[in-house]
Amino acid sequence: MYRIIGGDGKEYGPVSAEQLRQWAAEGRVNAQTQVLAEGATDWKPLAAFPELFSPATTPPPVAPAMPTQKIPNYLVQAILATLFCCMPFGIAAIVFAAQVNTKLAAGDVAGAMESSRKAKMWCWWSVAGWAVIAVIYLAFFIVMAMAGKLHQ
Amino acid sequence: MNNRTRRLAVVGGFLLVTAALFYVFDPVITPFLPRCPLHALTGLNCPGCGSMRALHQLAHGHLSAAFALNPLAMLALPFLAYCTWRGETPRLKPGWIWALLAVVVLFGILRNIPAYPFTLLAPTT
Repeated sequence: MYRIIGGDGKEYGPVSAEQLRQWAAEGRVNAQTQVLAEGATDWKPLAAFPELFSPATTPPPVAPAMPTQKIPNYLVQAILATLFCCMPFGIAAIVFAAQVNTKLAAGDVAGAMESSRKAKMWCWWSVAGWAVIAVIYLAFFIVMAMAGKLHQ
Repeated sequence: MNNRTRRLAVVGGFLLVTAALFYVFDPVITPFLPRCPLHALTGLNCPGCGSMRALHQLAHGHLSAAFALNPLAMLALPFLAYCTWRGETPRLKPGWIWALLAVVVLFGILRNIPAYPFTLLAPTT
């Protein structure tokens, strides 16, 4: 009989050799799983027990599923840019924001990241556009005000 | 500070500054708040026209005046607040975003039709 340390860090057992071989075959324990044989004093990896573990019987480790990447689409910023900053640049930002979701849905992560980058860029250009127009308008206003004063 | 708290703090700060700015300053008479160059050149109303004036009215609690100036912008605000709160626009089906774009463009076109009821969409100063 054996005891093992499960993937959750908890100790399981006692289990029979048959049970352990079964678990190995199912991939529920692997070569590194710590095993304590009955009567033994130190834990050993399952690989140290040839009667229990044969590399050929264990299924290849399944690659962990890729966590869904958080790729921002900047949609909120794009809408704000369109309605409050600079409409043409904002529209471009919304287009790229839409592309992010389209590409993510199609599994094109690299493309989605590129669209995300572009959406962000157009949002910033919208702010810059707004600022430039603000400065130009203010300068125009000042010039007109000064011209008005000159005529007094 | 986790992502969500940081996001809400940034947005909250931004909202505070914007609200204060537009409470104090009326875009109609404030020289450093820009006018739309497209409107100045063509006389047309883009989807954003009237939005700053609407913010000024909103900051003063004049909801109907704010709506009269730019209904789309005023409707967008709660939607944007919701998206920011949930932080989940990446999960929107792509079709919805393309539809949103269509609404914005359509709004930009319709509000320039000089006939009732489309004149309701244009900014009434």
